[in-house]
Amino acid sequence: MDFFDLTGKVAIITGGNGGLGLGIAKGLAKEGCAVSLVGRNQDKIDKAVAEMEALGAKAIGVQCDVSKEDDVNRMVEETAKQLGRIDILFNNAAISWGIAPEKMTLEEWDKFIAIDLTSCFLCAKACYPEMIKAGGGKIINVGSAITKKGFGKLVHYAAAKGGMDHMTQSLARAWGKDNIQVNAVLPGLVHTEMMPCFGPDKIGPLVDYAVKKSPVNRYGMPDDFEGISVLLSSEASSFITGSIIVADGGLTLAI
Amino acid sequence: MKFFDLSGKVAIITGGNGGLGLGIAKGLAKEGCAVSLVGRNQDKIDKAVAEMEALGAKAIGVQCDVSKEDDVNRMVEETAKQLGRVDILFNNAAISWGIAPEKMTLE
Repeated sequence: MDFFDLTGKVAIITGGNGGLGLGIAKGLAKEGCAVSLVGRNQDKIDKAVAEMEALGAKAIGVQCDVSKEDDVNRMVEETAKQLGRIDILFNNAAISWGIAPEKMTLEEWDKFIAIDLTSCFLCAKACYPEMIKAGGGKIINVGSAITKKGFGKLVHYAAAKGGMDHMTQSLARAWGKDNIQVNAVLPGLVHTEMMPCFGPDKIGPLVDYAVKKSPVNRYGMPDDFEGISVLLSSEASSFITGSIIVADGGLTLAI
Repeated sequence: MKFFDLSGKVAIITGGNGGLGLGIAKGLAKEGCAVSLVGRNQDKIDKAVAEMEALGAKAIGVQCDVSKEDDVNRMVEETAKQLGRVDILFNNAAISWGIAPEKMTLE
């Protein structure tokens, strides 16, 4: 048996049209997985699909607002129709910005929680029947190492990501009987559009501080998550479920 | 790049002569890793090494009491000498038994 082989498997990656999600997709594709890249921005989806196809991967793009149940159901249906099955779900889509909690309106809060947390429930629920059909599945929630710390201007983000951690554990219990393993990966500082670590938009002081403190003396790149994504998607992790795995280069230990 | 390739790597697995340790050793060997199986019981070591070799793995056994510094240093030295390098360490050896804390002596 090849522990990590994903040949014939199909993965949905929300927020798969860029950043960390595209890194995850590349990792899975290297092991033979077909990927459905889900996002809101069609231009970014088209570019990401082209990038995957250039690597020889089987990839489709599905436009979807993951905070909307109908849209999620359609996205899952379309993936299953085009790629034949669903084995793996990465709940990776997220938005974030810093704001003091006393300045956040209820509307902003509700919208944020719908995108960053409720979406994970909707996607998991929609994929569940397909995973049952496939004889099992893997759900990987991409959380944040922020849940190991606190940040005054990211109360909303911490609440959503903390919710994902606990959803991970309870989903693992709920669907263990169905041979579905549910785990969470918690990245720390990773260079993405949302958190530029170099270039003109680099968030200078924060990045420099984190790199100096980090045991690995660098920030993460999307391809740092290829290996762990393959591990948690493959047979190699059949005994790992309900685990919340910090993958931050040791940053949360150091700040 | 192959993410999980361990060809040319050498791993020391304490308590590698049985149970979980031997399971770990088999996993590493499947990815091409050479393994040094460390334990106290020479019979179990010999059997474990034979089992690994039957799977086509490169394996050596080193008898060692991992609670003794001199013994540990010798074990590491011997592994490095026989397998050329040390890349990976699994601190897996352990003992355990149930006992009420008030009945346990300091020794």
